[in-house]
Amino acid sequence: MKEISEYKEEIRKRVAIKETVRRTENRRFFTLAVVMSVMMTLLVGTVVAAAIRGRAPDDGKEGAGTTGIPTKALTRPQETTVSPDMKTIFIRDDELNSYTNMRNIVNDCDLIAVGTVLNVETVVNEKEGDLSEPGNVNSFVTMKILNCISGKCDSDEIVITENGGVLESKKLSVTMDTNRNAVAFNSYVVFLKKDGESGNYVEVSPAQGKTNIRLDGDLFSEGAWKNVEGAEGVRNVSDLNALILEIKEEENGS
Amino acid sequence: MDHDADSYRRFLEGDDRAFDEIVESLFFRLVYFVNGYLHDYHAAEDVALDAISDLFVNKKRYNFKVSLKTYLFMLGKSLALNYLKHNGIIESVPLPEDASPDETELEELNLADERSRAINAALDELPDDMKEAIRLVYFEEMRCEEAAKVMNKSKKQVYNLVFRGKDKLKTILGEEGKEYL
Repeated sequence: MKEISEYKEEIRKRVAIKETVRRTENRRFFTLAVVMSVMMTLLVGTVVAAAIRGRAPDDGKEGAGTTGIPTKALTRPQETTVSPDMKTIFIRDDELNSYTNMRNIVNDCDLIAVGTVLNVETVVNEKEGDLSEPGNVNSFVTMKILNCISGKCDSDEIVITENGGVLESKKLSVTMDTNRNAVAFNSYVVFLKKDGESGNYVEVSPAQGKTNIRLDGDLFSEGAWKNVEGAEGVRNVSDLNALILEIKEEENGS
Repeated sequence: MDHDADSYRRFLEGDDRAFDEIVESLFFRLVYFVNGYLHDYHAAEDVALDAISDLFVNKKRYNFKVSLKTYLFMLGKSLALNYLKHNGIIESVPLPEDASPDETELEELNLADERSRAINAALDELPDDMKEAIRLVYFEEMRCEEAAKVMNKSKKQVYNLVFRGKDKLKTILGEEGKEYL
C-alpha cells in the first residue's frame, strides 16, 4: 500500500486528465450541435421552400370544390420558380393582340381546357436578337388535360407553345408582364388555337392565353383578364362552362 | 455536522488544503468499501481513485443533500459494479484464502479497534447485503438512511438487515461478542 501523498498525486493527475477530456468533449459536442443546427435550418428551409413552391403534398381531400374539378387533381398555385438572383425581362406586348370581350376569346379558341403542367422546356430563337422581342424565347409546355371545356381533346396530354420562359444558364426569366410563364405542377384554364405548322397548340392571345386556377380566388381577377367584358361574373370553372354554353347557344341561334 | 462536506465546500471556493483533507479522510475508507465488492485490492484502489477524482472534476454533481461520504460511497459502488460488469464478473468473487499484504494493511487501517476486528471476522458468515449493511452502519458510522442510499434500498429494509444481522452476529460471536454490539 502506498503513502497517502502518492495517492493524492495520482488523484491530481487523474483530475487533470479528466478535465482535459471533458473540455475536448464539450468542444466536440458544441461543434456537433452547431453542425446539426445548420443542417436542421437547411432542411427546414428546403421544406418551407418546397411548400411555398406548391410541391407539398395536398391535404388529401377530394371533391369538386368551386373549380368543378376534383381538387386532388389540382396543386397549389406556384407564384414563380424564378430564384431571387434571376433577372426578369418582360416581353414587349404593345403590338400584341389583347381581347376585351369574353365572347371573342371563346369564338377564336379551338380548345378551352383545364390542365396541369407536367413539364416546361424553353428554347431560344437561333437569331436571338432582343430577348424582349416576342417569339425570340419560347417554351413548350406539356400539359395533362383534366377537363375539356370547349373544343375537342384528342389526347389527354397536349403541348402548348408559349412566349417566354426561364433560361437557367443565363439566369434570365423572359415573360409577359400580364401572362406569366406556365410553371410545372400548376393548374390552369387554357385558351388555345391549333398551330397549323407544328401541330402544337398556341395561346389564343399572348396576354390572355391562360389563367391560373387558384383554390382561394377568382379565375379572372388578375392580369389582362381584369377588364374583359363577360369575365367579371366568372368565379370558377362551372361559371366558365355556363358562360361558354351560353355563348355557343347564342351563336347557333343567330 | 459533516466535516467532509464542509471541506468540499471550501474546495469549491478554491481552498487547496480542503482537497488533502477530503482525500485523507475518505480515500482508504472508500478503497476498503469498494474492496468489499471486488475482492481485489488493486482494482479497488483504481476504482476508488476514479471515484474520488470524479468528485473533484464534476463539481456541480454533489448537491450537499447527503453526507459527502454517502455520496462518494454511492459513486464508488456504481463504479465497482461497472467494473465487475465490464470485466464479465457476474458472480461475486470468493475471498482468497490469504489476504494480500495490502489488504491486511488496509483492514488494519480501517478496523483500528478490537470491536471492529471482531465484528469483521464474524461478517463473512453473513449474506452479502446483510454484511454490507452492517459494515456501513457499524464501521462507517452511517445512519440507516444514508446506508439505504448507498445500498439502493429503503430505510426500512436496511434497518431490518442490520437488526437481523446483529442477531446473527450475537450468535456467531457468543457471549463475549455481545458487548461489541
